Parts: sequence; structure tokens; C-alpha cells
Amino acid sequence: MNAKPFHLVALLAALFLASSPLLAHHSTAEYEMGKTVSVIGTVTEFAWNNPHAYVYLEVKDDKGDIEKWSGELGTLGQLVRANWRRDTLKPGDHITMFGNPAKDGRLLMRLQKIILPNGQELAAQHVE
Amino acid sequence: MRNRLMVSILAATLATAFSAALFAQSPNPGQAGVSRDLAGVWQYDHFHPALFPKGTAPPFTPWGEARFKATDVMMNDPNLGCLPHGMPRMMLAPVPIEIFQIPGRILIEQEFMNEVRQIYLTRPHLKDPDPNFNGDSVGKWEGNTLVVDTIGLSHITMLDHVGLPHSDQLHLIERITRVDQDTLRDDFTIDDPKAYTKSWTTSQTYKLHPGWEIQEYACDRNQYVYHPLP
Repeated sequence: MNAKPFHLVALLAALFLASSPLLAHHSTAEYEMGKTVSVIGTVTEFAWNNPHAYVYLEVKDDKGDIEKWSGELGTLGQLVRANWRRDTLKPGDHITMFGNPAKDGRLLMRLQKIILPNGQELAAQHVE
Repeated sequence: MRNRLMVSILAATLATAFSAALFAQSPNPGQAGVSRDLAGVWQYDHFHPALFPKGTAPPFTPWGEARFKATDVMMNDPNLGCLPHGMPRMMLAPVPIEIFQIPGRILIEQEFMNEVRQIYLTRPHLKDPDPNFNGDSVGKWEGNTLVVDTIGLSHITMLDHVGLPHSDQLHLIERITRVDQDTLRDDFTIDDPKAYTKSWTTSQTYKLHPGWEIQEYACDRNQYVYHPLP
């Protein structure tokens, strides 16, 4: 994994998001909720579907090989209230994903936020 | 001086008439809760995945404890099959609800699966209803608190998001009160002699979200597989 898991930005994001309400109605048991990882890569698909939307990302590891990451989001209703839209992401977009990593080592995270190509941050759910 | 006296008498008369009108519109003045108007989009203020946090033990019967131990929420949660939460979990989920008040009934729609429960205000319980997700709910007002009695709940649903079980003997009583303009509270009493040795009560408060609309929800790409428990 080239996830650069504990760099400063990720740590700050973890501290900020630790106070957010839980996202999923499905169990978060498959994720390490106390950890945050981040990856930078290129969007291959943005699946705008219920019960959970997904971002699929190709990430180059340290050797230049491609890793295929998935980022799980909440329901479309939760995303709409957090200012996401079906065209928020498109294939080819270069983004950063922050999230809780899967416990079993899969290249999967429960997304907390992304950084869009224009530098804007977008949280994975509505924040009061 | 005489004019001032007349003005005072007129003001006192108007004030008395106005307060009488207010009391006439408020059927139970002095009762807890600001009004019987529950309509609006609400969402929990704090999400509690577990009704009994770690370190506290539910008063399980042997059946209840065995059922809890047999449950793996990553396998047996009906949500994995995009089935409704059912009652009372639909009132405790991390998505908004909208309450509608129509003659004789109160309807509550929850965003997940756009699940709707109906609370009948003018009839008693059905006789021996088929157990289902939301059961048979009847309600009555006690002051400004809506007291809802629910039976007929299938045991395949869970009480909370960590797999707390119930049986089809669950008898649920809710006391729903709008405690102020922006806050709703629901006190749930769980009475289920097959799963618990005694009844117990838990509460959820909700905040009003005037700008929100319930979104359509259809499971059009479900990544999960549901393995129902018997």
C-alpha cells in the first residue's frame, strides 16, 4: 500500500472527522474507525447508487504499479444533503480520498472526505 | 381621565377574550410539549448504533441471549437485503424521517427504502395481525404527547444496529412529544417477555430540519448479501 497513512493532513482530518456522526446504516464493523488513510489517484468510476455510492480510484504505488482503490460513501440522500451530486466526479478526475481503511487489508475505505481537482474539500456527509 | 379608564377596560376585555381564544385552540393548556403539531422533517440529534452500550447488559432471557449471540450483523441484518428497518429501528436510523398528520392517522416516512409506518388514531388494534416489519400501531393523545401502541412485529428485524433481537411477542409503547419548536422526543418502552426478562425504556431525540426533503431511495446497486436467521 502506498497510502501514506499517517501524514499530517490525514491526521488532522481524522481529528476533525472523529467528531462527525456515523455515516452508514450498514455496519462499520469492517473498517478501522480509529484510523484514517489517504490516497491520491484517478477516478475510474463514480457509482451514484443506493444503498451506498462508491468512488473507484486508480492509484500508482511506489513502484509505479496501479492499485485499484474503492471508497464507500453513504446513501444518495445523505450525499445530496452534503452537497454531492451525480456529476461531482467523473472518470479521469485526479482526486485525494481520505477514509477509514478496511480491517482485512482490501484496498477499500469508508470515505470521510475527498479533495476535488480544483482543490475544494467535500465531506462525505452533511455537517451541522 | 375617563377616556383613560375606558381604554384600560377595553384593553383588559380584549386581553381576556384573546387569552380565552388561545386556550380554546390549545386543548390541554399546561401539558408538557409545545403542541400536537408533529409535522416536518426530523433527524436524530445523536446517532446511537447500540441501545445498550458496551459494558451494559440487556436483561436477556435465554432465548434473547442465544439469538443475540447467533447474530452477525454483516450477515444477518435484513438491511443487507435492502429490507426495511422495521419498528422501532426505523425511528433510530441515521437518515431523516418525515411526519404527516392526516385525519384519523399519523404517517411517518423514513428515507431508507422510503419505509412508511401508519399510526391509527380512531380504531383499536387489529385482532391477531400478521407479524410484519412495522406492525399494527394505534395512537392516542395524552395532553400534547402522542402515545403509540404497536404489536404484530416480525422477529426477523432487529431493535438496533448491532443486532439486539426481539421476538414476535414484542409490545412496543412510544411516547412522542414535541418538547420545543425544534425538538421531538420519542420514549420507547420495549416489552418482550420472550426476549427480555423485564421491560425497559430508551429515548431518541430529533431536530427539525425545515429545509430538508426526504429523498427517493431504491436499492439499485446492492453490494451486500443477506443471510436471514431462522
